[in-house]
Amino acid sequence: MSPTNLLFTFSFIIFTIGFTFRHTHLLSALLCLEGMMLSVFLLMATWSLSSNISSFILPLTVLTLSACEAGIGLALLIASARTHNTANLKNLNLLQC
Amino acid sequence: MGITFFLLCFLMMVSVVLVASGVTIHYGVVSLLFAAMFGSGLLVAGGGSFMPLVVLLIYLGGLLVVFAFCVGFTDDKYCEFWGVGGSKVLAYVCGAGLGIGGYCVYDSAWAEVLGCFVDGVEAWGDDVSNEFLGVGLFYLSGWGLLVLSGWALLVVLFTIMIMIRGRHRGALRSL
Repeated sequence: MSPTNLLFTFSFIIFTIGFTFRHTHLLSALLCLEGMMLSVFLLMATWSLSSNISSFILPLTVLTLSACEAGIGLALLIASARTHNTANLKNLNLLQC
Repeated sequence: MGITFFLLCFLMMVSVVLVASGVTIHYGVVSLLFAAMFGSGLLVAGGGSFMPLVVLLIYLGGLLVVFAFCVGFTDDKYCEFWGVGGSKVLAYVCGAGLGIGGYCVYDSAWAEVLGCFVDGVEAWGDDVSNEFLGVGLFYLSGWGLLVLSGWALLVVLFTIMIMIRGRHRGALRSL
């Protein structure tokens, strides 16, 4: 495993740990989710830089879908801030048991 | 080459740990910005030319501006940089794991792997246009993924417009 692959895998794991342990704000969870998608994109880009040319279309698709995910997450944040006055994660308690 | 590569790796790791463990998200957004920037720098070191540009344009130009706008909707009373309590422990654990893992890599095959990496960079230096050919394949054999991406972006546009439409008429209301 080359150093860049190792680094991006480590960053994915660290972003996953941060996504698991941060419960205060919705935006911090979204940031960690964005970081996970970024490290997945970087891993796929380094993989496609060392393989054949038809593998370049996959990381761009992943980046587009992660942009879609971030857009929906930020729209959820804006809607939550407009209806509940704050964007904390404890407001989203409709399915809480 | 070696010291620049090592510096890029170190700075990207520091920004990743700051995003994942810092409490205040004002700094988290900036740290994610720096992580994307150093990650694209690592892609440049790996021989890429088009995809780091895409990361810088889409991520830093489009997405993180919206993130920085959404920071205004959060209510942080205290601006803490490094965090308190559990998140500081998390940062220490991540840093220690990084140190141990990095030392293991350094101990096993660091020099050989880095030599292979530099050779790969030099081999990639003389046909950079390979990447442009690969991206151009979007319109030839990857048209299904292109249609999927465009359709996903269109659906997301209407989803966002419905979700934040009005205070009492939107898809998300206070009950």
